[in-house]
Amino acid sequence: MTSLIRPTRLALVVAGMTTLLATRDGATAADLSNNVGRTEPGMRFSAVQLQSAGVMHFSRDGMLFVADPRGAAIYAIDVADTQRDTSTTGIQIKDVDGKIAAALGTTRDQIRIVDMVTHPLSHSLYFSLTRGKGNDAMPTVVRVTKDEKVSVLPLENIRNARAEIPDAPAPDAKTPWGQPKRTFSVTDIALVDDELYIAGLGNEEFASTLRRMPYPFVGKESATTLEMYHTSHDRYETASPIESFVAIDLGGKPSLVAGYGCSPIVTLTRAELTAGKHVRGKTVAELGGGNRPFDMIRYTNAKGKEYILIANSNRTLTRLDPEQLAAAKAMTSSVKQAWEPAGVGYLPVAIVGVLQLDNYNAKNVVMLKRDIESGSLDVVSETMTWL
Amino acid sequence: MAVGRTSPTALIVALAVGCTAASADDRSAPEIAVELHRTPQAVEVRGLDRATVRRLEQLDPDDSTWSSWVAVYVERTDTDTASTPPVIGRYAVSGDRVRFEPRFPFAEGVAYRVEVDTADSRGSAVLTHRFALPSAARARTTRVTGVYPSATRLPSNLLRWYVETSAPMEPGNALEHVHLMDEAGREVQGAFLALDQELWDPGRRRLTLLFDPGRVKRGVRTNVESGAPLIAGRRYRLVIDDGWLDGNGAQLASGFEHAFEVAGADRQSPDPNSWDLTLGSPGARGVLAVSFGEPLDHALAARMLTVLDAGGTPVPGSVALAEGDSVWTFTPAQPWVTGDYTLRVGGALEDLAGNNVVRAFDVDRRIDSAGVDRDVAGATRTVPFRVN
Repeated sequence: MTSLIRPTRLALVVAGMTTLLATRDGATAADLSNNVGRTEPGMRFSAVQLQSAGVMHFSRDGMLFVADPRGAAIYAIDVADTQRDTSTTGIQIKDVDGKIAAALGTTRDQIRIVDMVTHPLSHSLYFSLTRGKGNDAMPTVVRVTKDEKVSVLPLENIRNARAEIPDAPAPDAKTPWGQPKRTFSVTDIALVDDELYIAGLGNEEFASTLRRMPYPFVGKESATTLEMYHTSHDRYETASPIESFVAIDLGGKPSLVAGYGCSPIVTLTRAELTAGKHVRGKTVAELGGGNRPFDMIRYTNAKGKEYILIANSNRTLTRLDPEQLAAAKAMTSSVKQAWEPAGVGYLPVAIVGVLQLDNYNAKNVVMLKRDIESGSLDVVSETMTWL
Repeated sequence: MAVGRTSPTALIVALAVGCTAASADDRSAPEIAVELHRTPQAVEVRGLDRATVRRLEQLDPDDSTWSSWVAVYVERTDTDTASTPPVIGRYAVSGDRVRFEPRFPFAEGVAYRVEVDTADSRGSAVLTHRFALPSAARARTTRVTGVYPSATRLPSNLLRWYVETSAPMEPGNALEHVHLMDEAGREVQGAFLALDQELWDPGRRRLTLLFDPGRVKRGVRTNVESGAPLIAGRRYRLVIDDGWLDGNGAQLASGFEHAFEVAGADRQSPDPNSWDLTLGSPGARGVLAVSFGEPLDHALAARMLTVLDAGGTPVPGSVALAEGDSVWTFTPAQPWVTGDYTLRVGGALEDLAGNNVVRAFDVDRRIDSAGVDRDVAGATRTVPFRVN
């Protein structure tokens, strides 16, 4: 008779260290490595076939990074934007979603804007968006100039390099029943010192992961995947998805300031971010409950003082002082009343409805903003003189 | 001038009769033709005079000045106040025709206007033509096939739902259609985490809905302020209304409800050491059943357990979940061979409250300040067993 004997011994095997560093082999990686040795490794003219249009980031010299979470890939795209705008005037585009939609041959209810970033040299705005809905949805990237000219990035043939998001579920990863189910959603990306930082969360296991991979992409990306934790009142430690982050020096140390979905602001020293490590951030501020930090930038105002600016779902535009963040101790205070901010204080800037935020030019920051009176979605800039 | 909706199959030709042409001579006026049901779609202006054609031939297909000659616009609604740019596309000249192909297909339910500048030395004239693609009626055939966890008793710190549908859905507004209702029939506000990009599977048939971690976690502000969304001892319903749109833009065939009661919080990691392993008859073909003693995460339980032979090679077989995701079964493709086996358990396997095998969802550092760093990603656990 077949029987089953159950030993009581239980083994703990740490298999994570090696698998964390592994990336999947595949045709794409091979294609990219064929280009190693060119002046810009991995860049070539080809079609960028986005399966989804996600968050974006511009490098300082105008390389556009676009996340394609559904395709589990990041593209570096040479947008060939040769315009140069040296002016310091601001920008205003009323009803920007209506105008983009019209140029794409549809109505504003049929487009969904995901992200807006500024080209650092031309100061044109780039929007990642989906045109159409449901089965007809088409991901695309659109450029809008200061004089409101709308054009579609020619993704069918453009200089680009593609890298798979390390350790993201393969698009063809299947369940035991044969259906691909796993996906990875990217909440924010940024290029920091030749490394691309990718924050996001999966649709199955609940972990806060931050991926780092070198740029330029050279084929097989060796990436670092971190599990991020933060503490609440210096007591309960949990994982949680990072909603937005910014790289900045705090007290002379290269750091990250991360905003979480449940509103705490957490600082991390970048030197501590190594593979397989249990990385614990320091919670230094809470913006107050019931809020999500949509977007985050750093800027230096006319007096040479650096600040962090945060666009929020349920609060005004918020200004934080990095010097105070650097000097702050981990929060240990307890809650006294609903919605009360705690920890490092902030300046509530009298601007509401900001959905996207970016640096614009030497004197302005730019916002994608819902006008709370008219309901119109507008691009507006704000001079840093008052920030 | 021909104005109005096109028939679905017709090639529309609008004669310039009655348009705002100011010049009157014996030349035949240009015509506008709209090809909606060919790929690619196109708008053609036919019968242009030779001088105009010669001018237009100088332009690149993407030249921005094209639209000052021939442009297609989305018709503005009464509420629009700002001017709208022309529809983006490519232009080409062939014979006496200018052909415009839109960058994206013309959309159903949208009204368009074509404007052609036919001005010449004898005066200005704008030829206008309007067309639209009618919206097709969509059959309501998609339904919610299930929600997971499917159990009727759930922990108060439940972390997520999976909602599965019979056909691909339209992403973007799930939170408007999925509601958590309390005993009094009131909706629990802000229960779920709002995300810019909803967590869909690649086929858009399974949505992952996370409870707002801020309201589930211990000590976190929103938990203390607003309270946990689920309170132990009370009954709730997860209600999905039929207004949710599928990938074709049709509403669901019907709504869906799942009623459940709430137990206390689960703050313990699933412990493979406590699982029951049984091998059912008939003998060597027996199904291995692993009883977790509690429901585990529907998606993770399906893929995080692997049977290895004595040499560490995965044993091929088919996997199923039973009894509300509290039992995992494995049917080997080949008969069992007497010997040692191992059940490998991925460290990321979670219970319903997000506690994974190696780490509880939130760890109290005051109690367990030592040793947390051992809980690294990718750790696995193994449960050895023997088949005799």
